[in-house]
Amino acid sequence: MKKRVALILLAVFMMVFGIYRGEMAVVFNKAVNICLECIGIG
Amino acid sequence: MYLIKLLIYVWSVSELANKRKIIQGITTFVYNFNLKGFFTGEIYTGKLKNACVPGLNCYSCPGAAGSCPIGALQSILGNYKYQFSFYIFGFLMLIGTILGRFVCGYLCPFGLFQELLYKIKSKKFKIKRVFVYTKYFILAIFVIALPLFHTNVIGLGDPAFCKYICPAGTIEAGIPLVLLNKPLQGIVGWLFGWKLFILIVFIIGSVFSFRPFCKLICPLGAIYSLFNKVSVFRYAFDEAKCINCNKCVETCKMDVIPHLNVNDIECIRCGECIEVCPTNALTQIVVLGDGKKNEEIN
Amino acid sequence: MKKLISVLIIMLLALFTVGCIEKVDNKEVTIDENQVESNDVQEQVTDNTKFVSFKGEDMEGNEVTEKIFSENKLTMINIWGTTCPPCINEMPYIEEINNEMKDSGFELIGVVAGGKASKIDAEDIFNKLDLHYRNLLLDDKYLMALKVQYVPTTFFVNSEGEILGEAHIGAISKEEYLEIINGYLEK
Repeated sequence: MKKRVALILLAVFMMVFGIYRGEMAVVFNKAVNICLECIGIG
Repeated sequence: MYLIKLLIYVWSVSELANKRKIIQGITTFVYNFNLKGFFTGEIYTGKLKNACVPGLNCYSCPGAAGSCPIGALQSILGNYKYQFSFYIFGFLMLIGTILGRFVCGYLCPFGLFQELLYKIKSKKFKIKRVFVYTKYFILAIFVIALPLFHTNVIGLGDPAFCKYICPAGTIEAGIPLVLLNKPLQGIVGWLFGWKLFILIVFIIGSVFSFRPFCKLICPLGAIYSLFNKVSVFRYAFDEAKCINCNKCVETCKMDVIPHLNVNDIECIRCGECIEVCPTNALTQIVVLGDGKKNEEIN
Repeated sequence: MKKLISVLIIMLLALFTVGCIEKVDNKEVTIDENQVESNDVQEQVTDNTKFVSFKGEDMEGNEVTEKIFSENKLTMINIWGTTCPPCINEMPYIEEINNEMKDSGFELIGVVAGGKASKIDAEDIFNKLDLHYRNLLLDDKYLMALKVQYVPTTFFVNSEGEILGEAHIGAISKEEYLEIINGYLEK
């Protein structure tokens, strides 16, 4: 049904918007600088 | 390339169930192709970590090439600049709408890990259906609420699921990092001990019960399960062909009743019910727009 | 079903190929003058290894190099991340340490992971916590050369630019820091 296509388009739009507002940079920062407590060591 | 020829050969001679294992194996390798990390004890810091892999794979694993969607979600919700993540929820919605819990069955290394443990011969136990709802609770509290509300002096929230629970993180990141980096060995504390305990519980549990983490805890599975009803790749049941032999019910290790609800939230799309159905009443299909394209399992 | 499988395989192989290309970018950088060879197998940073020579900026935009170590008898380099709660939780009390000890030839200098890309967030955090110690923006290649992977990581450096003892990984209490600092200052 058409709702799948709508959901996919909405999902892509959300991702682009999220990247635009800097969310992806936060993910990258957290992924390459290990905060030991955050992953359960310590 | 030699590798491709080998893959095609192995592919053509394997049964369906093994085909799934092969994809799971390839997935584990692809998510973690920074093999160098396992020798140096250092994580990959390249640009690919801007993106998430669809399955549960800790981004602090020395081999990890991409980010974990659940880790990423907590890091954005925990950040004082955001109360919601469009990037990650959008990504999860995209993958969910296309694949639903196919990710669980094909694209998750920790799922593969549990399945391999289940192969160890022992008495097997089932988990009561009502308990599968705890994973939504874990999602709501540890992945969403705690990072949002349990914040420090400047509003940075705790990534509570990664920090206190995730056994995938312990086995992929915690243990390799501690083993490979002497300086870390001096500073492990009670938190590491607790997470080790959780990991051991799930290792033992996975021998006696099928994929206990996926059933009870996994917040990622909880999210994808919401899409099983609408995903593009899904299962179909033809009532007219069903002879009520219940072979599908006996086979299903996720305790789904395929002839009642073939796109149940617990179905991880392992395909065994389809294999075992004598009348082909169960099939895998692809549905995008208005038209239906049938693809039968061979 | 076959189609799904082949599509998935192609996707995965594509990812793999892209990943191999990406790996070339991730090669570790060797820096000329510094004595810590970053291509070596994992080594502990031990007594009297020189802190890497660097060129960076402080938060006001002034250029800073390893010459800052000569300004003090003992410098505490605290490497932190803007998204790391344990790092941030210790910053108020290391600021106190800095205020208490700076007349004894000691200085605390922060280095934010992510360098210039983290400048705005770092400023934000320093304002929110009312912090006044110096904070540097260094390129990640210097952190890689120092083998810094985790935050917070703290180094103690003497006036010759030599690292004293081992890198301290993880946050410790104010008392523990003071003990270490006083121990080094007495020598």
